[in-house]
Amino acid sequence: MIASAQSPILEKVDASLRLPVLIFFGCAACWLVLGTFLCAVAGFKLVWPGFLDGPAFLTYGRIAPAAVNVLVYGWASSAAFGIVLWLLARLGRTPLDYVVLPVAAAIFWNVGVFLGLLAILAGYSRSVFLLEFPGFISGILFIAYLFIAVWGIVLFRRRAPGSVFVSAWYLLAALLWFPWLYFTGNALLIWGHPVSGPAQAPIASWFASGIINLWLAPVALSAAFYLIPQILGRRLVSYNLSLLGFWSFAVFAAWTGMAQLIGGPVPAWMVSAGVVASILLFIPVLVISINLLGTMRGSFEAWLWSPSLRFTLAGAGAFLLVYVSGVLLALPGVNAVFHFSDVLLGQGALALFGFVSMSFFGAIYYIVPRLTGQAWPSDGLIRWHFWLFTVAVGTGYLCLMFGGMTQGFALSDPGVDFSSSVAFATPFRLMAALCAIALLVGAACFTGLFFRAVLSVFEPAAKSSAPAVTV
Amino acid sequence: MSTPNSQQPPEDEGFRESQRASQTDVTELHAAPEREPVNLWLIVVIMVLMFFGGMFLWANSGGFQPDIYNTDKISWSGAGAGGPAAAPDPMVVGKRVYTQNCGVCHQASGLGVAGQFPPLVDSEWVLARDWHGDNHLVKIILNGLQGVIMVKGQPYNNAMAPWGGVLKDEQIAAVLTYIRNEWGNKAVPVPKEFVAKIREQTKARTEPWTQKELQAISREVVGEAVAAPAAETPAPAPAAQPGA
Amino acid sequence: MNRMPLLVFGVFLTFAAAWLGLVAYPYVTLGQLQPVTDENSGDVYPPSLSGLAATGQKVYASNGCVYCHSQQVRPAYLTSDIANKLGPRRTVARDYLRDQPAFTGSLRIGQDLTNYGLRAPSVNEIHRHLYDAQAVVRGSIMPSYRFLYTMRKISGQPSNGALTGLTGRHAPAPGFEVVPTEDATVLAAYLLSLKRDYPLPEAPQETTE
Repeated sequence: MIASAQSPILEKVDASLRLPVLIFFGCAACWLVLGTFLCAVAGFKLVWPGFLDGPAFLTYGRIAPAAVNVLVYGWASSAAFGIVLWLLARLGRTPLDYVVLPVAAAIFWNVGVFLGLLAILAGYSRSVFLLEFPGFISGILFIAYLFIAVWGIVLFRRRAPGSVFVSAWYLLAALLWFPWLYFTGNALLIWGHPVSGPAQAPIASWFASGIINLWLAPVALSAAFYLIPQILGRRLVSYNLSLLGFWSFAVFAAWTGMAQLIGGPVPAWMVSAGVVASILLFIPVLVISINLLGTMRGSFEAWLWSPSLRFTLAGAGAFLLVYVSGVLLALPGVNAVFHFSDVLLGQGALALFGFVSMSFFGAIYYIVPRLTGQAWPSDGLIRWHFWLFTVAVGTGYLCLMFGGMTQGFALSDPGVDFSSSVAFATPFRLMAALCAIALLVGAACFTGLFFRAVLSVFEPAAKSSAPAVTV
Repeated sequence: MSTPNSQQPPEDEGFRESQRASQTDVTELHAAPEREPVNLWLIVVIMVLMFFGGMFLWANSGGFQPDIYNTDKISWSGAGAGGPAAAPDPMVVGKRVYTQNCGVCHQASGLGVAGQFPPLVDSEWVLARDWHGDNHLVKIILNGLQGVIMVKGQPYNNAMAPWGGVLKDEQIAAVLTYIRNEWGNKAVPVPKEFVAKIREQTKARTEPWTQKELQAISREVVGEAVAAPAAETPAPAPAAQPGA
Repeated sequence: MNRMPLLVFGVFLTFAAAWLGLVAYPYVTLGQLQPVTDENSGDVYPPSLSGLAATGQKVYASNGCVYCHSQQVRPAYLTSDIANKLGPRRTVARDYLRDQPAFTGSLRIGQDLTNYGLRAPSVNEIHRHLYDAQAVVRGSIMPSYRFLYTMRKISGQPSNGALTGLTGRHAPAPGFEVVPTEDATVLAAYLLSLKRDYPLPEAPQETTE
């Protein structure tokens, strides 16, 4: 059993985290399956509009936001909570007391997401991107979040003396940024008396980019910063690069939303600020990539034997790719042609499934054996999961990019009919929908594997130590 | 039992990794900040990017004003400033002015009231036929009209109030354009510069005009050059000519 | 960076800077914009929505139309939106004064709708499109919103508001008619109200290229 090989303090930490973190991961895994399923349905609806049409709750305009919200608030956020708590406790070597509160928060959060999903399908959404949950549900989510965040900060404050690792910076930043972001977005756009129409476009863009850049991305980066040195057993390339990367990311990341409004109904200076921030965001991305990939130098074959490293590296690669293409797409001349096309969908998919999800998978594959005390029951499923996701995300991204580019050229050309832009994009959307099915299968592998790993804890000891081959 | 060495034999994948890794502690691996300097080239790249970013922001921000939306505008008053909003359609403006001011007497149909208020439809006064000119029309609006007048063969004896103090040049131009192009009327629009010119000429006038006075003033039509400025004196024109 | 106060302060400061610029500033400037009155014609821009259209906005939001249809016209110096006849001029913040929420949209899976009211055909055509877009436009991927309509047996005369000219696989059988529900009626009213061609001081008319 692995547990006996750990130092006693880490064992105590892991024991205290077991229940809340596994609940978060379990819920996240279920949401992932549902979310990828809804994604696939939505993807096929773009190609065959008659597919599953009829009732209101099955229209694309409800399935698509349902998919995104389930994936962002259900899968990604739940996984993020588990990772946040585990990493902060681990790094600070403080066990989590009063487990009841995070567990209750986990239940409230996930019930809230479920109710929100039903509300979107029933038509109660206001169609503000990533704020589709009705007001009282986002209120529930916010309060549940506070319970989790309070514990995160307590864990940080109680940390063992010593230097603070770079992952903790990102985690603390994410824990402090998300409530401010979520509260502002809801208070101004959803709850009570929303702000008047003219002010909504910039605030909504700021919020949507903030959910990725200021909540999910820092947690994913914190996982990568922890796992790569930890698995390889060596230190990060440079402390100064970590410092530079973190602060430059903090400065520029919040402004990038305005690059989605180039030519839009916001004052010129806000658009230019967004463009400049998106381009300068290349600085932290470059620095972080040098730091992470430099740490890997000479040991890239480690991805063969370490599943968590495999996923984390794939996530880091997607991180580099999505922000570099973000730089290109923020250039006004390029944005003018491609903004409203599928290129945006490709970017979103790469960010969510490529960068965030793969990084979270890496973390979960690392964390769960330490909580259950057993290795993953099947390596074959891990490989299936990895390759299905990698191929699906890569192919889907390329298809949506190429399709989006042809669509963008068609949209920009006054001599070309609108229906041509649809016709150009359709074959690529079909490929992307097929990739979504591959994602669904991969997600099913992951979820099946997860529950098998967790439930095997309750099996009698003799059975669990049997076949060493698949261990 | 395991060393912090990355060259592990690739057997027992996840098990081996998790077993070995839990011995190390990354916080110790990253404890002391070594203060080795960041690569100079990286600093150069960052500085260059930030410089060009700052220049772009400065040049494309419309003076950081909340009502400049086009990034190629520096400001509203500078070179390349945005133009004013498109001029509203004079027929629309004229109709509103007419409805609020003129329709009471001349009616929404432009037919007036028989014996009381003259019609504007197909009226020689409006369409500048015979001796009537566009300048006469403007003078009527500016200073009013009194006494007996003949409109389409019918006599009218009423008083029209002056509107010069109430309506601006562009409103007068618009309402005249409107009455000349509505109800089947057709004539060239009256530009506000023409109205301004006539207003300047009549600025000493305080009395409403009479038909006789207007008949003495030579006819001016929009767009045609004027041979000589019309004599504008408060005294009735016939007085200027010695009796034969 | 080992001390929590420094970290928290920096984290707070970086976020606050963006919050001030991207949230507080729009709230204070754009959020306080009022309609403008044209002194000559007395019209108010943007024109206020009829009650039907305001209710129609809720149907538009509830069905997620914004996920396929944008409502932004970008300027001529940057894009070909105006050359593509999406509108006579670019949209500015004040154009969304009557919208709650502002449906700017970020994808053009379907057509841009900023000035749909200017090019919309009759109400019946709008209903035909909503009922079964694929029967009206070849190659359309717009879903059928026939749940916004009721198909019922014609009793005596066809109803006043019944849709005419329906074709395709959802067309009513002889003896049946399709009538819009209240949701469809208000949605059509909202779509017809989508006109941003009035002049605004901050949005000069642009020449088409």
